[in-house]
Amino acid sequence: MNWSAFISSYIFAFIVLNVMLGLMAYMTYIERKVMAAMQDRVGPNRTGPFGLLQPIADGVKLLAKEDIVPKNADRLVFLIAPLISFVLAPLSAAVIPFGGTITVFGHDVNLYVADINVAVLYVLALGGMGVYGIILGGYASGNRYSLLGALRSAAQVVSYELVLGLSLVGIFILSGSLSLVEILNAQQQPLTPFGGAIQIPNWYILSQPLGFVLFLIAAVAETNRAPFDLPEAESELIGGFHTEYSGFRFSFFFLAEYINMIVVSLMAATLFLGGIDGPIADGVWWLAAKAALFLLFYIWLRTTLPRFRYDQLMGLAWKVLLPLAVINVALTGLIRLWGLGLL
Amino acid sequence: MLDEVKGFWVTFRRLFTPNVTIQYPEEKRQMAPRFRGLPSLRADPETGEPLCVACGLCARICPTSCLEMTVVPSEEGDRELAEFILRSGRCLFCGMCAQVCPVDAITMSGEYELATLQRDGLIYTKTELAAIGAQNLGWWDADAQDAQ
Repeated sequence: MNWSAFISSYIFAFIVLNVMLGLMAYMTYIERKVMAAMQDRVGPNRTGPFGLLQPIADGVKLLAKEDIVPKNADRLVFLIAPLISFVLAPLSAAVIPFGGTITVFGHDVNLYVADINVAVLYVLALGGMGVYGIILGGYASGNRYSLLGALRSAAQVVSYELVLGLSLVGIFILSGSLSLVEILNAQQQPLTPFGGAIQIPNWYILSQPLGFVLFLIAAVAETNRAPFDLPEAESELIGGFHTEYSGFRFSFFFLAEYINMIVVSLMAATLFLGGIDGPIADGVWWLAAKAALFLLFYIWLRTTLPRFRYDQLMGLAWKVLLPLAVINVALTGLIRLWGLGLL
Repeated sequence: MLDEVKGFWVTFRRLFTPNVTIQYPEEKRQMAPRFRGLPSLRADPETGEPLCVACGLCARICPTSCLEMTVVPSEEGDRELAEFILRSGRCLFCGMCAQVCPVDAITMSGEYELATLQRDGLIYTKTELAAIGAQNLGWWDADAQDAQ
C-alpha cells in the first residue's frame, strides 16, 4: 500500500470537509443576502459588519437550544436520522476533482480524495442514501406532518433520481467513463472543428444542452430546494420532516441540505462546465466560480418560483423530464455511433 | 414560455434596484407634511407667549374626550389656561382639535414615538405639549388645511 498517497488523500479529505462546512455556513449568509437584495430588502446586517457574523450567531444559537425528543417518537431512529443525512452529504465531495496532481515536499498529491471508476454512480447512490435521513426522521417523529414530508421525499427521490441518472447517461456515452477525473480530462481537450482555426472548449454543456437542463432541474429536486421543497413545505406541513427537530439535530439536516447544494453545484460544474478548465490559468478557482454560479442560480430559483403542487411535481418528472431524458440518451447514442462510423 | 422567464427577469432586475427598507431607529421615514402626530401647543414665535385663549373648543370637539382643560381667571380679567392635559392613550389623532382652534394654538406635531413603559407616560401636561410644539414651528398648520 502506498502510505504517502493514503495520508495525503486523508489530509486532503480533511481540508475539503472543513472547507465545505465553512462554505456551508456562509452559503446561508449569502443566500439570505442575495434573496434580500432580490426582494428589495436588506437582509442580515446586525451581527458584525454587514451581518458577516450571522452564521456564527446562528450556529451558537442552534447549539445552545434544547434537544427535544417527542414522547411518541421512535427514539433511536429519531436520534440517528439527522446523522445519516449529515454524514452522507459531504462524502460525495470525495470524488470531485479540484485539480490534477501537484507535488508538495517531494510527494505527489492528488487534488481529489479518490478517483473511483464509478464516481458518478457513487454520488448518485449517496444522494439516494441521504434521503433515508429525511424519510426515517419524518417517520420516527411520530407526527403526521413529518410523515407526510417523509412520504413526499420518498416519492420525489424515486422520480427525480431516475431523471438525474438518465440525464448523465449522455455524458457517459461521450466520455466513455463514469470517473469524474476522466470526464474532466475528456473536457479539457479543446475541439478544433475548422482545421484548428478556432478552438472551442469540449464542455459537455455544449454537446449535451438538454442533458444539462434536465440535470439542473433534477438536481434541484434531489436537494429538496425550492421550488421542489415539498418535503419541507413550511406553508402546508409546518416544517415537513424536520417539524419535530430542534437544536443541533435540526442543524444537522440544515447542514446536510446546504452541503448537498454545494456538492451538486460542484458536480454540475465538473460534469457540464469543464470543472477546473478555463480559458486562462486552469485551476480550482474556475471550479469555484462555476459552482458559485450554480449556487446563485439555486437562490435565484428560490426567490422567483412558487412551490410545485404535488401532482405537478410527479407529472413533471414522469411525463416531461423522463421522456426527454430517454430521448436525449437515444439521440446521443445514435450520434455517437454515427461518429464512430458504426451506423 | 416567456411568462416563466419574465419572473426570473423581475427578480434579477430587483438585484440592482435600491432597497426599500428604512432602518428605522437609525433612519426615520420622511413623513408627509400634514402627518398627524401628537397634538401639541404652540406659542407665538416672536414673543414666546402661549397662543391659547382657553376657549375650550378643542376639549369639546374631541371625539374621545381625551383633552382636559383647567381654566382660571387671569390677571387681565379674562380667561387663562392653568393646565392642559392630553391623555394620548385615548387620542385617535383625528386632528379636529387643531382644526377647531380659533387661534391655531393647537397643532398636530410630527411626534409619533409615543410608546412608554408606564401608563403615566401617556398623559401629557401643558409644559410637555408646549415643548413638543416648540420643536418645529412649521408643523401642520390648520390654516394650510383650510386653504385646500
